[in-house]
Amino acid sequence: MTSEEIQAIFFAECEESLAAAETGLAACQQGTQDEDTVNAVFRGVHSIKGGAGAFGFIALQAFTHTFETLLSDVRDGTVPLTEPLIELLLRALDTLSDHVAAAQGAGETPEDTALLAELTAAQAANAGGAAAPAPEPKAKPAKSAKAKPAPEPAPEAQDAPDAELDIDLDAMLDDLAGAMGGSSPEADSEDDDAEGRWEMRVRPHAGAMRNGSEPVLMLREAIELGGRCELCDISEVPPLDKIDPETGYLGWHFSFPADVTETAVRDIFDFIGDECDLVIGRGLAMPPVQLPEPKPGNVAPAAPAPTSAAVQEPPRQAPSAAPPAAPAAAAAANQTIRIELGKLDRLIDAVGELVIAQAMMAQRLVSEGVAATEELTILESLTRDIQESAMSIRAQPIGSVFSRVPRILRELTQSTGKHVRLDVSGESTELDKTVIERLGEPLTHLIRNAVDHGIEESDQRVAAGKSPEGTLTLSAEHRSSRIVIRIADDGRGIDRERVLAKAIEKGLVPADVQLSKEEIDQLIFAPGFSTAQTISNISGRGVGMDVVRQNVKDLGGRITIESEPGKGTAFILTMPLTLAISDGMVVNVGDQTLVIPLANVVESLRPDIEQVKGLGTQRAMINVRGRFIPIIPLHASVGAEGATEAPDHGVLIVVETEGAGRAALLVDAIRDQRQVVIKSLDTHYRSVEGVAGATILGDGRVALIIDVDGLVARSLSAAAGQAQEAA
Amino acid sequence: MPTITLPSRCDRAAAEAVLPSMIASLGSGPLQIDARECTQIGQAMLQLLVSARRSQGGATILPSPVLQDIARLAGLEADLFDGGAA
Repeated sequence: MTSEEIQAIFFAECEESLAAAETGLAACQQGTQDEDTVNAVFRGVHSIKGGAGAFGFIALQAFTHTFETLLSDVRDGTVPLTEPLIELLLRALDTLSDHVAAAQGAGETPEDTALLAELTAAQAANAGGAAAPAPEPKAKPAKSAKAKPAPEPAPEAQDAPDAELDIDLDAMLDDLAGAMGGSSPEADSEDDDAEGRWEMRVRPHAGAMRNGSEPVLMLREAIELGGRCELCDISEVPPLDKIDPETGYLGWHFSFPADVTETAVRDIFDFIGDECDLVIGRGLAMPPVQLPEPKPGNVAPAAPAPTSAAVQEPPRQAPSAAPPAAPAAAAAANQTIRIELGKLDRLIDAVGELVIAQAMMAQRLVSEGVAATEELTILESLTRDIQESAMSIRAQPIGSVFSRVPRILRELTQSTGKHVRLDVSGESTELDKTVIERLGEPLTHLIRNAVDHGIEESDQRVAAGKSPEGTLTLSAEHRSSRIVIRIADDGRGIDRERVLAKAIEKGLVPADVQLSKEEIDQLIFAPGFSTAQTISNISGRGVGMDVVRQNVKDLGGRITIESEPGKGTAFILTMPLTLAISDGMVVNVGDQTLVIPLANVVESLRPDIEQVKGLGTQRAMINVRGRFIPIIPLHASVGAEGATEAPDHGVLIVVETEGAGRAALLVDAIRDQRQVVIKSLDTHYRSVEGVAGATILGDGRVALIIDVDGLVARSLSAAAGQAQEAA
Repeated sequence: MPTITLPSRCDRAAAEAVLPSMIASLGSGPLQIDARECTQIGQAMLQLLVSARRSQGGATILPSPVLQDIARLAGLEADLFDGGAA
């Protein structure tokens, strides 16, 4: 594994650690301040510190150290977790997030001097009465007089010349090598009174040697803390012909002076978490070696896939071991692997091809006169199972996007002075990773918009009989094959009169236009539309909402608005679960076969001639249970030849669109309803208006997938234009 | 006497790489491991060296200063360098 790959894992873990710390602090803010919650926050920050030190991110490490020192005192109960302190910790977490981004090259290193001073002051002020206010009980720091100092946590380290350390294992190992000069157990023997010293035994396992978390580095930290290596247990090291370089055979017995806390020692090894067993106490046995499980193919068919360079093995806990209870429980809850995204994409592609091949085989069987067989049904069912399983691998909980929201709200509170309470539900709802990644931007904009435009100033809220604090509700849920995300505020609602006036003023709609409430609401998505009186850096430039809608549409989603004056506004995003495979209705139109996404289809019907009403010269409407719906002959839009032109001779597919309501697409016949693998036209050809993509049918032919929203909107506006010309 | 020269960077990948040569040398008399170029070393290589010392015929290790320091840190000095096989 290259150092870049290891670093990528580190940064992925940073994201998780930041999210865990954010969740923990949010829980603390809401009153859950138990040991587990505070520990989770501490662990998150501590993990980042460990990796930052290993990779030489000096500024990041310096900041996390001060942050962690305060958290450590909070955890130990020497610093009370008050509301102002939680706010300070949240600000520190935001800055930590910026530090991580800077380490990734995504931004400047944040200016943190003032914040570091605040953190140190909070720690010192509260820990003043405690016996040992020192941030980390680093015993005997001078004992390695010749040693190169460990990456020290002082804030000025940001400017230290060695901030440009080579960031890879070399650097870590060099650092280790340098630090060792002059340090020896003999040097410590002057303290060898053995009285008051306590013992720790540690056995790193296989995973501890991967991903840059070299255990030997941790021994150095233990020694720097005042520990002394009493013994290295080599009894488990097998002879050469039996050794597995990936297994950890060595175990260490250390002793520490009484003034070194157990927590400080555990923290050293916290970075490799469950990948080592650690016991503390006099005369205890060395934890056992964790032998590798049998390789697949020999005996155990259910064994995990062999380790590859890009895969991080989950921690495996030997059942016979007697480790502390907490790591064992954590191991059971953490049976995960990291997989390079490219590999997953190849799997999804292969599954897509499988779906196509299965459809082709079904088609072939039909053409050979085998209409339906049990085997084919089983194959179809299995194919769908495989597809769903493959998709679920790419699925991630939407909580990863929601977790960014508290920070956005904190920043908005600072800039607008509006205090907003956040209610989140359905954060474990899963959807495709790409959709999640690309949802961040529109979601952020909608939230900023809700706070800036939706939620009133607190005095206005009080005057309106509301609580001075606004509420933003974020929710996500599965609904059929889509995800519905709702961003709702309890603000003033959309001022439709003002929106319409602004739209008329900007020439977006004619002055005498008659629009429904929903149509007025949709105007805020028009390019260049903004009702903000002043342009702020939050919103009000009118370049956001149309981009939001475009982003959502690009992901195959829809955005709708529900708003009630005085009560609030909700933006509802309906997103597909995946971008790769979708359910579609396969239809014939003249000499062409087309696919209509099932998500748009409401119903299909064969109309009687009396249901169809002519409207002017161009447009026909169908009366569906008292509701008139415009008919769009699909052949005219796609240029198909030989298609049915009379609605009562074909089939009407009633579709729901985002911007143009319902429409009935006239086709010749419905051929099938099946999963289709979406191939991008942009990639293989070019973007075509009214066409969302293409797919390969069972007979090997390419069929276009209709962009229902685009096609209906274009057809209706063209028809309206023709009608006006005719008038 | 078969001699195996260790690379400068003795991490887990290096341990995996040199292990087959070490196994192949078994039975050919005492092995000499030249680690004088070694500037970095991790647990995987340390335990491989211990294993080489404990395997048939034993092994003599020519250490670099870095290896000596790390062996001292890890409490392995006697096991790796003192006289015959540990």
